[in-house]
Amino acid sequence: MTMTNEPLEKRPVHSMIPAVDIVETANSYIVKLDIPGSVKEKIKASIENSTLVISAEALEYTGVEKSESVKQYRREFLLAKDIEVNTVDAQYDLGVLTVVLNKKQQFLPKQISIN
Amino acid sequence: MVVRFQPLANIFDEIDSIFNPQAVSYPAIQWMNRRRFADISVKESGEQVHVYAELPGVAKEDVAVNINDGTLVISADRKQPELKENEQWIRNEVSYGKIERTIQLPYSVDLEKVTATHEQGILHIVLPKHENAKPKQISIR
Repeated sequence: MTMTNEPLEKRPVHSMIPAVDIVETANSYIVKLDIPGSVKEKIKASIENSTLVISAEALEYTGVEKSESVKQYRREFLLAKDIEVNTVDAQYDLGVLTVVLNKKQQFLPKQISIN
Repeated sequence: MVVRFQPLANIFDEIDSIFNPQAVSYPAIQWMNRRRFADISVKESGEQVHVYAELPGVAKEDVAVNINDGTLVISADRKQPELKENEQWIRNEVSYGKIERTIQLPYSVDLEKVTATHEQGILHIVLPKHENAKPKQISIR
């Protein structure tokens, strides 16, 4: 961590990179990020310029009660062309954020019937 | 080209950059270097000891807390997700499996009154101090 000249009264912030698991299914990508101890309201997920940006805040439990610090999670993912950005779904449970990125219709596997 | 001298702090980055120039600033690599599971914090207040353990993705029924002779043992099992036939891993940074963390408690605690909650991946154990470990005010005669 680098030293900064931030005022002392500001709560210390710990920058974290959440661990991620990505699984590809036939019609989607399932992205799971470890963000323990946050709440739904403190998690932001957005897609801008075909980049998925996840940021979240969680309390850090070290130290004395009065000097509670904050853990700040952030991670970006450059999205491939086959992702439908309008139907992204996100859910937070057990300290894990799950984002489901659906594939565009034209990239889905197709069964071709033989006449 | 003039390069500012940097002491050994970045020696691993330097070595990485020799073998794989693209990998150096990659977030996953930075993260792997400090990869941890079940980070534990212990906090003390006047009458209680609080233990927090980060256990994301672990269901409540897969967490066990045991206290034996001043030692707190937290065991957890993070179940590996089973992939279906048409599913495949793109990336796997999360560690799965059983983990056990042991903490030597700093005070003797009242075992009858220990409580534990597990919410959004944080296991929070409250251990009230035993009568003879609580802070005492001694009156001066």
